[in-house]
Amino acid sequence: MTTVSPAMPAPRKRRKRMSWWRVAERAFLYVLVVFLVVLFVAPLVWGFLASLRDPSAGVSGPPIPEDLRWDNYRYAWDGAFPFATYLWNTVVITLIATVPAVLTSAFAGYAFARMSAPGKNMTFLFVLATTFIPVSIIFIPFFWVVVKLNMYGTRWPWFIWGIAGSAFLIFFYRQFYAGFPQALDDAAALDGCGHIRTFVQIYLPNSIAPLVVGFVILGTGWWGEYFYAQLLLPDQTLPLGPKIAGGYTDPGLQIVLPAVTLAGSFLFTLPVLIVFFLLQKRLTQGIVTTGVKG
Amino acid sequence: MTAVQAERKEAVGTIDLQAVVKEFAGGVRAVDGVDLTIENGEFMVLVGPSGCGKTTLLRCIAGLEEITEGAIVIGGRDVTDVDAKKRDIAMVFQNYALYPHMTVRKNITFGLKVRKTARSEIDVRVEEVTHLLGLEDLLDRRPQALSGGQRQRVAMARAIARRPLVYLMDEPLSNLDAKLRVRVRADLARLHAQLGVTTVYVTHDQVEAMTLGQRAAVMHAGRIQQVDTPQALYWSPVNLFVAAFIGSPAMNMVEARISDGALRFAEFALPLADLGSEAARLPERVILGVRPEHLTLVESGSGPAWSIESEVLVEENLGAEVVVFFAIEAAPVETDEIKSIHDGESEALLATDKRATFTARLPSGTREHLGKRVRFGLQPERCYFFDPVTGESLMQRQVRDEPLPVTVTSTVT
Repeated sequence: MTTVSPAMPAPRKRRKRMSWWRVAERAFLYVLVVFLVVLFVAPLVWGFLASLRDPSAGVSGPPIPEDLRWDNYRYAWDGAFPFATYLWNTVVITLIATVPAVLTSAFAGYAFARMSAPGKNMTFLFVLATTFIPVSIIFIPFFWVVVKLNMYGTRWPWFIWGIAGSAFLIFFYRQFYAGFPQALDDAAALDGCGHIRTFVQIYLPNSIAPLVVGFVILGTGWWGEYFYAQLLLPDQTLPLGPKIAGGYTDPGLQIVLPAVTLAGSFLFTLPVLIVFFLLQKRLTQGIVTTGVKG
Repeated sequence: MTAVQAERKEAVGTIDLQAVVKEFAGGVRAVDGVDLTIENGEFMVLVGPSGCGKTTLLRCIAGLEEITEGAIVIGGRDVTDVDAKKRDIAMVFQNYALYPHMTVRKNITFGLKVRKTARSEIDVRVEEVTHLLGLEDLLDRRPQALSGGQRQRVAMARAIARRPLVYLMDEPLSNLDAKLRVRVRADLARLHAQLGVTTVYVTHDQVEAMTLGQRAAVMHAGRIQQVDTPQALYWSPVNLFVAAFIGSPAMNMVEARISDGALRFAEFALPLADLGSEAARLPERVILGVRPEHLTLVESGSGPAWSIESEVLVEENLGAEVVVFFAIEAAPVETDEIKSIHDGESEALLATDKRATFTARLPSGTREHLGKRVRFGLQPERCYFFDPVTGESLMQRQVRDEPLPVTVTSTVT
């Protein structure tokens, strides 16, 4: 028990008050969120409904078609071109460009966060700077490099993009690993680990969520990539992006069928959505560092 | 046994720090010329306020920091340039640093597996440490499913299973609540007695230093101020810093003048004759130090010559004892050393009135003093004198074989 002379002033009580501007702030936020949801979802809904129209009717007509043409989807799958083949091409390109990139970016992020070397910060700035170079400036030199290396028409460039990592992800993982408790590194060092073992056995298993985030960010980019695929690949190894962008053409009439093209687009998007829903928990999951209290 | 073998065995678990300097980029000398020899099987505590360099020194011993100058010898082997993983040490971290994705069993065995210990041997050691620390029911849990105390035990188990030459512990109790800390502190002492492995233990809590250490090294500004048994640190501090740091509540201090055969501060004049022949050596200005437990209640008016009187401002009844606070009409002693100790402590209540605050520990059951003028007796043979400029102790004090007044309450940070 502590007793104090009465001369000591008692601490003032603070009254709780709900201010009007807090309510207004809330209301504004809700309106903004609803607006953004409508902005993003409306085109998807419109596109989905349009994909069920009569293929010969074009894009005009009532928003909800009277006759739902589900067979547009069957036609998109095995109509004008072999959808499955191009889907497989897309999967291959996405995986060889994404999986190595996530791992090497994570390792590079670890190195930038945890290892010391002369000129490390300059190197990091250089890596970041590469993200500011527009594609339109480098694609011609890049094209010639690919040609000179005899990689034109092959999937090798995608694999090289993969092992080269992504500047954005390197930055992302560097920030993430910089927040890792240093004590984990120290404990690993005393347990006999070098850098590689520390990264593989301690860091990687504790960064599942950010690895998934990296995979999804990079993977969705490569999944829908159009420009380099169109530039470098022959038709038989093209991914779906350029194929669908070209539109489904009726073989007899030689006209583009917008409804079928939209159906194809939805089929093309479906795997991304499935992956997203499967990994959603990991994507939103907090990062597990509960074993370390500090 | 050959002479060489005998020497090797002798050297096991000793740590020899030779003029160790650690300078960080930017010229900050966190460790500034530390010489320290830690015997085999000894429990050595490195203690000091935050920023004194104790943790940096521990990390240097571990090999987690490269030292700038000097040498580190562990078990007779110069490990100055040896990697942390090859130093044969195990460390318990302040935040435990358990691997979050591994079960308790894997946390304990990870280091052994990395070192390619035989599976049968690993099983033996896991069995041993789980039994020793009572982890049987926790082996398949992950760290996040453990309480603070359990995580602490797992961290200990991980270190013990390694069977290293030396244990290094970096404030391992600071994340536990006060009650648990007292229990684990006792367990740690027992564990050390049982294992007999050399242990270097870092803490900012002088109570831990006093209760755990066979010897303690008090550090300030990267230097060791005094290395000695807790008893000696308490009874015979070499300087103002050690005196102010060791002991809880802290030693009372006031600057005093010596004139006309008396020690004068505030309105008091204490006759020097009571100090004995040593008093002649004291310079004109000194800092007088009195431990709160060496102030006794005396009758007002008829008290001994060495006594002071003031109004009690705060009274803390702790059950077993009563701690009273009172102000002296003199400026508080605020050297840099003392400020560094109180960094971050909240003594704002009375410090604001710019007078020196004194604390006295009185036996429980003494009647209420709040707001009254009370006379306190000082025991001249238990007063300390320091040089106000250098902080050096001016009078050697004998180490007494009395139980140290360490309380549980003072460990709450």
